Amino acid sequence: MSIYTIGVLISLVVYMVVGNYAGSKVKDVDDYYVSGRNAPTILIAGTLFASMLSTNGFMGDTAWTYTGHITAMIMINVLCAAGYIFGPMFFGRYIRRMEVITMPQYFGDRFNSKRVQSLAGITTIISMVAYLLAVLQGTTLLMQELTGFSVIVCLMISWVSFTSFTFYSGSSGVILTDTIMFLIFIGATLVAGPFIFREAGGIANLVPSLLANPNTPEGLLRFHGNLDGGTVYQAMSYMITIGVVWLVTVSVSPWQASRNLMAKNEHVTFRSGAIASICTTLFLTFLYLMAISMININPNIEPTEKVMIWAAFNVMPKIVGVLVLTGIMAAGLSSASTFLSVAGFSATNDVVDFKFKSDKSQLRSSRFIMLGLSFIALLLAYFNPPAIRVISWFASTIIAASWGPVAFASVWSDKITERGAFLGMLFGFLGQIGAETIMRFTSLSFSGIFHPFLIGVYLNFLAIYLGSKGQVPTEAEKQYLEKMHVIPESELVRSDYKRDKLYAKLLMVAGLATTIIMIVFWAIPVMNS
Amino acid sequence: MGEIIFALFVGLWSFGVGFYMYYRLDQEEKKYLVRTDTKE
Repeated sequence: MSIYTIGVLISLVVYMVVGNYAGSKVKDVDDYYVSGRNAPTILIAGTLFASMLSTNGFMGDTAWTYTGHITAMIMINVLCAAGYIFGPMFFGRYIRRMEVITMPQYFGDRFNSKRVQSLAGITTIISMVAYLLAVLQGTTLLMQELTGFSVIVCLMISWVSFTSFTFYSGSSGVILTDTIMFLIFIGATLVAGPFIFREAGGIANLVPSLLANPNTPEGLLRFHGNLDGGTVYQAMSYMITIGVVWLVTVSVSPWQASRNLMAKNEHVTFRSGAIASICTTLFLTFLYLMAISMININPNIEPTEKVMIWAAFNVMPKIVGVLVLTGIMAAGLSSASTFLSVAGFSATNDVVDFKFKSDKSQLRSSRFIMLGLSFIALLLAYFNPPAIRVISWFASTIIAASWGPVAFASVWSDKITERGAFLGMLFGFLGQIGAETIMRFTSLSFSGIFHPFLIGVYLNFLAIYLGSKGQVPTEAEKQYLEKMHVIPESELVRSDYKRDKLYAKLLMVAGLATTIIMIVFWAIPVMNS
Repeated sequence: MGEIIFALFVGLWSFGVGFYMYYRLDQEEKKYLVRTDTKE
């Protein structure tokens, strides 16, 4: 067994021990679902970013960068990062205020409607399980690469690693392990980067060396990136559309916005959002610079998803390589644990109105249901039925097409009714699925302002409008909306606002620094070449 | 030229988002904390 395998397996044991320790402290439903609503900034930031970044980020996105699309990834991430600011400000803080334990419950309470809660719960379970499967495949492949074990053994190792603590500890364990994983993969990447940059000829020399390298993919260093035979308009349109899709996704999706429910107060939601935003832009750009540096070291890595793995094995000291592989695994497991917990909570709390005898009974049932759901996910991952495969392609964004317009309207509109909300969610969900299915199985193509996600969003808005037409919200809905807009006294602390504004200033400085660095080290050398 | 515009957009977008966050929180602080201070 290699040192890489041993390192990764040790890390898995650490997560299970930490997660189970957290589980032993869980006393009630609030602890299990929303970690007692007491989480500080670092834990919320950690779980936000770790749930977002999975094996896809370290393998899929770096592969795409390596093949000439770094500018697209930067643009997508910069737009997406804004969702971590707008999300809490326009949605997250309000749902936190209402002290719900799941986001579907929020929708159910807001519209005084069991069917809205059930629909939101069902869409959560479908998209989270499908996304979980995609991530599970990623961690399984990585485990196979490291260990050489069979698919079934690697699948079981991955599955046991995140299921064991997730079902037992719920959100308490998930946000703690997520934060540990967040620190590991950030630390590993920052430590490993200099080794790659040095081997590639130095970070300051990166752009000139890539310009001179005949193996550099066509268009890598141009603002539009590698066009892959398309046009500049298509490339720019794609990156901006996907960026906006992810902006909405991180603002309202249950695997992101639900983290707000666990925050100690609303100020924590703003600060953790700012940290996640900075990680999404600066940290991921650092990772992508590592990926394009690999072109100078080995331009022929195949499949390209193995760029960072190859680098871990061949370019850095063994101990650093172990850290990087542990970090990539951590990125996958942190996402998997979040998806499982969110799906499990909805399965227990939102789809059917169980009448639990007591808090203890609900806690016990929640654990069993989550374990059961995880086992179903394991079977689906092993058998990989086509229908699930289809949904996995867009599992990450479909919930945002279904919830996005309804979520923002639920906070800011006094006209949306229960019927409008229900139909909006339904048509948003079906609209994107329908458009994606047509695209995959026919020669029709939807892109730009007709991207399947946006088709879902347009249908969502239309359904909200037509569904709410001729109705007025009930008294209960009006009172709930009014209550949502009252800032609790406990939030009105001057020092908290001052600290929040410091984080905002940090974002502003990061933005300015990004422009200056990109112009000096990239734009000018490229224009002069 | 495209690269300069790209770099400006990316950085200024981030700056703008940060500025908006600052502005909203500052306005909220002025609105609610003045009221709270007056009550006390």
